[in-house]
Amino acid sequence: MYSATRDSVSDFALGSSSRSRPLTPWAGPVILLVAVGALGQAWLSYEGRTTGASYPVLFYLTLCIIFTPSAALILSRKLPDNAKVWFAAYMSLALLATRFFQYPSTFAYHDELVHQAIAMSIDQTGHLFHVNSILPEASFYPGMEIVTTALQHMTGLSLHSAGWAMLALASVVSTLAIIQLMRRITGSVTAACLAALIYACNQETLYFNTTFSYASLAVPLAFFCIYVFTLRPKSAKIYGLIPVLAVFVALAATHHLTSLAVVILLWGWNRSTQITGRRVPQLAVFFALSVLVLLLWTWLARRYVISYMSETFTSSAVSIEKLINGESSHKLFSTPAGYKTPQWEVIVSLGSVLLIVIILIPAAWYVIRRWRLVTASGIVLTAAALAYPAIPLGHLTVASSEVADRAAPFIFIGVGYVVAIWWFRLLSTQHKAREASSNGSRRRPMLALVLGLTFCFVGGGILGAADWETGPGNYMVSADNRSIDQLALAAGFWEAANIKPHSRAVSDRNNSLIAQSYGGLDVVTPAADGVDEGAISNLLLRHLASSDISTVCTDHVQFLIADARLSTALPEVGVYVDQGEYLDGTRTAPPTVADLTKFDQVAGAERIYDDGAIRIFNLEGLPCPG
Amino acid sequence: MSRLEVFLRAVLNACILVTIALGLSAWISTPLFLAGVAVTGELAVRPYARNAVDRVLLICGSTIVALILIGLFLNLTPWGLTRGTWAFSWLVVSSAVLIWRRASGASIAADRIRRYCARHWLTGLYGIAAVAIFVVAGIIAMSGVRAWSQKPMLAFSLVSKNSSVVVVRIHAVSTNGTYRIVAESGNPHAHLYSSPAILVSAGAKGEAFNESVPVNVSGRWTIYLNAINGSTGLRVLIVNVLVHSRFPNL
Repeated sequence: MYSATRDSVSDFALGSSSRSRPLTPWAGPVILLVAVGALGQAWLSYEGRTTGASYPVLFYLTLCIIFTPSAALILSRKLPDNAKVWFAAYMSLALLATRFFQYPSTFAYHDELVHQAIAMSIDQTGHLFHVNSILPEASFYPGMEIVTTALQHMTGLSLHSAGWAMLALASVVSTLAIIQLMRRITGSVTAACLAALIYACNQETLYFNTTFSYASLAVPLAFFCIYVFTLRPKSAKIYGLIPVLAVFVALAATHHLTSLAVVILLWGWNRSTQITGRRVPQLAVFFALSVLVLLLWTWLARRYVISYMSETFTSSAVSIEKLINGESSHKLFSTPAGYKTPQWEVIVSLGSVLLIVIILIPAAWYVIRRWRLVTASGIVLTAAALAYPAIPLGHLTVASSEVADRAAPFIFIGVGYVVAIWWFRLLSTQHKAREASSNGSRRRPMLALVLGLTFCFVGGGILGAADWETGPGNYMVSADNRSIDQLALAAGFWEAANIKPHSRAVSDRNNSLIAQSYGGLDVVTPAADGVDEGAISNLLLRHLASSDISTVCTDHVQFLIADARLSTALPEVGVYVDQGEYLDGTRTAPPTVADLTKFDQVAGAERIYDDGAIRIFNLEGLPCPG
Repeated sequence: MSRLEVFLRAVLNACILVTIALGLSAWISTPLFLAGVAVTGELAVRPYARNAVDRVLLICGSTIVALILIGLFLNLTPWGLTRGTWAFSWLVVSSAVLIWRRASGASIAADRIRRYCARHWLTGLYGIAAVAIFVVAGIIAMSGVRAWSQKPMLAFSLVSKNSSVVVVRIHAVSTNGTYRIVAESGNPHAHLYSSPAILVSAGAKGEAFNESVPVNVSGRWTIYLNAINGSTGLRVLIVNVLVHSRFPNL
């Protein structure tokens, strides 16, 4: 079926020239420097937890200690090809380790806690597809949780450690698949490594794609799927598609949007082969089969995934429409709670976007002008690169920024390809000219490239997350990782020990996550229960009204978890509970403590837990009709 | 493949099966499992890999894919995804690979490894130093977690209640002080309960203890945890009590 074959015809035939050179003496010190950068990140995590202090400049500086020397070494001519690839993998693992050092014992981000709850339900029941009330469609895409629980069972590691082992595997697959794919397309390991370095500059690399979330495994699987397809010898018969189809089934079982993106990519690739006239055997068949698999899996998850995806795209369209009509209230580089991104970070992030656009214009033009030399896969990648403006423009509204961020890995693969091709062609032209005039330094362009990459890497990091999202620190209101503190966790452990599992509870965004993943409770949500978000959030955020009792009775709410600290600030992420909550979009002041703890005044309700911040109410004694 | 190699691979697979089935410590089972996956994966992808990079990529990628597909299959069985079924799956897959590739020749030559080590020993030393730094980083990060989880906390909660007693729990971490539990009800026949002074001297590991609060009338009781030399109503519980009494008004 599959066999080790030589690279197919590469675009522009960028050759590699350093296959058999020994390692440069700089390799060892760079290995050490990368570790020192990770050590710096661990210290920042320690400081954030013990003193609450955050040092954004040091945060990015320590990341640069990892990225910049690695980039310089990987792009140098003095390193053998294989060593460049291993260095790229080492760098990506070190960047992943920096995320681990921020939260080395627990998952802390929103999606992480959702997936932790899914993994725990698989572990407890031994079966898949138990609906998660906070993100119901995620239960039908359990690929990541299967891998994690399998590692957990087979190694004896904790769920958290098994999750990080899975992320490390995914990181290796992602980096190596990008490099090997680009190596096949460009014919150069250095160009392939440059594409991988450019990919590392996308805003999802440092944060979202390193969290315990289904997309973190799905994106590497998507690259691996295409890589496995390229391994297929041209002479292979149709059953040669079995391995790649197996990878696609695994991908379809892991993440909806990523498998859809791969199907779109295959469609584009297939169309491009018709344009170039260079057919890729069985590509059309694989495309058709992948559509079939995607449809079958979507049918399995139809109850939740269709509404989830349509809501995502509809809310993006609505928010863009609002933006065009001048009705958008979204402010860039600030949160509703008043956090403002420091000026230097604004300059660097906007500068990095500008730099990418400035580089992309001549690079894309270079590839487009020579389109006859470009393979069909090259055309698809160029088209992806040209979609880059969608990322910064998508950030103009909250809803569309999520779609833009999820698309970023695929767009940056294209950017990486186009820029790498252009850069090395430009470099070789300049090199020839310099040889002719025998003056000038060869190092200057490479220095500029490394500095430019570093600038874009930091800019991407800033675009990806606000400073408070990057690591631990003092408690903040409705700020995901910064709202999961020891008081909230203690309440979660108390719930697990004292409340019947799967009791129905209502709380704010973060305490709901804890109640579900640590407390074992079922959170009442519109997505899973069809309840009205406004009415449910009234139980927490509004003054007492008679309708609250009927909401409790109608929606069978048994427990209410109220965090009095919500009264201290507006929510960092824009909502206390979820979109559609009481006063969503019009709120100018936080709810009062009296509103949050109003069930103290209701006959039949009991306050059964109080740690000064979090109060848990038992509402089972409320007088419900019937 | 020599008989010795087949035997050694079979022994490794069997050892992994035993460690999974017995649920041995992660310190034993993790390295063993990783070694087993690497060895079995390498054997499975050997003909498809052109170089070491391809090999590592195919091993990692195919391991993920295999786990997902096996997990989906196990879900269809009545036993589901358990330690036992994963152990059995490992036995089946590793044995199948061994039988499938029994004719495959070893691709790693000892002298190649020796030459590689001789050329890159200095880089290897840097690598060892880097691993040591990563370990130190992990220790620093974990010490931050320990300090974080030891921040002061005083939780007051309901444990149980019956017609004469409400049992409450005080859970304290890094907290010292003297407290008193006070219970009252709006019912005019209710007695006011005030506990003796409770000394809390909770260290970083925390301490928890239960206290009984006697109640004498039905209705809504408010139970306070007050600091003796500080604020009242530091923590508050509100509990509905149903007392079975011969005198309904009491």
